[in-house]
Amino acid sequence: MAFQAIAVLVVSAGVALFFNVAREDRLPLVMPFPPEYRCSSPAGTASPINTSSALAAFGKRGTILVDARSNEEFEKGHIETAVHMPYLFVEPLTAEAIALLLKHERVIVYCNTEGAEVSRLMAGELSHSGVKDARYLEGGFFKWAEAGGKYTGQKPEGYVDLK
Amino acid sequence: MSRALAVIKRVVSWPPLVSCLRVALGMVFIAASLSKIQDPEGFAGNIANYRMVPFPFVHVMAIILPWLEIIAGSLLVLGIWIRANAALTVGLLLAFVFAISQALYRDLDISCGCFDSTPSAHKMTRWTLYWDLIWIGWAILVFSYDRGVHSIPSLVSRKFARRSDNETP
Repeated sequence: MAFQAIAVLVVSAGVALFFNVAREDRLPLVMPFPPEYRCSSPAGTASPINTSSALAAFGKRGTILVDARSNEEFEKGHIETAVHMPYLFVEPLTAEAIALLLKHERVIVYCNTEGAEVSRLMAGELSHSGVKDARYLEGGFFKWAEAGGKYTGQKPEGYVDLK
Repeated sequence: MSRALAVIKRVVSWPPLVSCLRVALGMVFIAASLSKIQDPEGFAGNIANYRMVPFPFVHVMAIILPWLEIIAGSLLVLGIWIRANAALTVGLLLAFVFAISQALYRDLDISCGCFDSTPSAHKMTRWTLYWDLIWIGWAILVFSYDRGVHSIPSLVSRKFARRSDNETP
């Protein structure tokens, strides 16, 4: 029986891959990031904030900056006073993280990709979770440092390519 | 109590009934696979929405899963390798139950993608989960009691047996 089940699995995979290659609208085997271009609803919508507005809001009461990048990137350098909450699409934000952010009037999430893909997803999720003014930083950490924003550690050399 | 159980067991293991259950199960899997095969991109969106599978693997799943459903479903309808295919359907349904449960627990407002790969199709509810649990019970019945009495292989073997009986001098 196990052999038969494995045979069905193998044949199905073979037929599926063959038909995928044969069709005009074939899918690439590895899904590109960000996945949001096809995701329907789990995230709410979030508005962007440009670097100059973010610089003006920096240090004001009720505003918090959130670094959505990986541990490694955060340790290299980050915006001063930013809270680190690495964002992984498959793992939802924890209740503790959301509770902390709900205490603030404005949450500015940043990452370091050219299209701010990661921070846009995270800000959308925060907005969906009830954070009133969740924004994502246009231009990310790179533009912030270029514009003279305060940061600790290394200055970013450019954008990170997610692909 | 044990007598009642024995009666239930006799009813559910009645070959014509269990064969109908098997054909229905196979047809459900075939029906579920059709829109996914037509629109693998939409189905990939559905899988991504569950936020359970790391995104590099989403496309591979979206390509292979519908074909596994249609092949296992067709083999069930025909009655070929019944126990293996019933076990596969139980495995698939268990995976679906896990995916749906975690999505409901995390309060993801998504479409289940079970029969319609359009991400904006009807939203998932607890009933989606209950239906899958019913299908698991159904598939376990087929796995346990269907001995292939009403299946293509048994039909063929009966026909051959009859022919060889007739040919025997």
